[in-house]
Amino acid sequence: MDAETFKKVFLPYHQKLYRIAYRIVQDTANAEDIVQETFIKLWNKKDELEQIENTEGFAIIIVRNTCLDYLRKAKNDYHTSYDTEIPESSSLSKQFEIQDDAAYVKDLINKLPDQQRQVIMMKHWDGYTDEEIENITGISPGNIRVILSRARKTIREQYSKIEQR
Amino acid sequence: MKTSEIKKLVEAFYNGETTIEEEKLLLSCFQGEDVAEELLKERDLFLDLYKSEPIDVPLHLEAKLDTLIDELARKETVKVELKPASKKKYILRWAGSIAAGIAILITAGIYFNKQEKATTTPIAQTIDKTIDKADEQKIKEAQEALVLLSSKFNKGMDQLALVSTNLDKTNEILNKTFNRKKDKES
Repeated sequence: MDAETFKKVFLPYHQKLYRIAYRIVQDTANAEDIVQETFIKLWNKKDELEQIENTEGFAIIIVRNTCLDYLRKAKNDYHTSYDTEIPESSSLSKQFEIQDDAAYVKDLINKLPDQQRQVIMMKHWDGYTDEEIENITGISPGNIRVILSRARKTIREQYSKIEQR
Repeated sequence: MKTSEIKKLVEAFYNGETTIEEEKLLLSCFQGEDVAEELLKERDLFLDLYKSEPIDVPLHLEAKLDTLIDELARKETVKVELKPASKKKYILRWAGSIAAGIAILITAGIYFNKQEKATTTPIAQTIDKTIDKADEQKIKEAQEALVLLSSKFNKGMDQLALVSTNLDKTNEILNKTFNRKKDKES
């Protein structure tokens, strides 16, 4: 595959790849670096790419693995965060500071454990299907349902506490 | 849609059991005006959950990736161009060794041929004894000179290979520095 063909095939994916990277690492500069690294890895595999039908899926797997490598390097305990509960939301006074309900829900989502946060953002905000989330995160459909349920219930619980105030 | 059906869907939603279609249905129900009062809190939370925070992709990213691909392709071309040059180097070295070997063989052949002639003609041997000895000495010297030449030639080729490797390394460092500077500029 020559440079022009490579560009035609993979450059259109760069926005999606960046959004995925950003969802996982939550940082613009690192997401950008990860996308660049993904393109280098794809270029190094360009001879194998001609046999791959789903080039987008392949690129997503590469960006996901690159993100996981980054998180491992950053000593971010990505995997163990699966079962951790949402931290008891800062102080109650801070909660009252948040006047806007939508902003409060966003805050609750951001405080979820990494995996729950990623899955709920991908599902609700980015509109990915379960299959796409599975491709991006490598989490099985059964686990995606469990993670979504935990995340939604946690937010509902925290939200109702504020509603009762 | 009946309130009881919406309630069931809401519960399924929090259990992570709803399909995309069911979630879209819930969304359109909650976005409508006829929402039962008992569901108003559920509606507010549900709608807030879907209020997305868009991710802005950096505008320069595409151009940056475009340049990166060009750079990767260029580096690959440079590598490919270097390969035949190093092949030539090996061929030259082999040719040099073979040439030196052949020269030694020819010299040895002449020497043994002369010796054989000398043994078959004893009279000539006695007459030309002094000449033969001188020849033998010359042949030996020629042989030594050729061996020396061959070893020097190989040494020279080794030095050339070393210079070529160092040149490659220097190129690599220069490319890296150039890329970093380019990245910073962009």
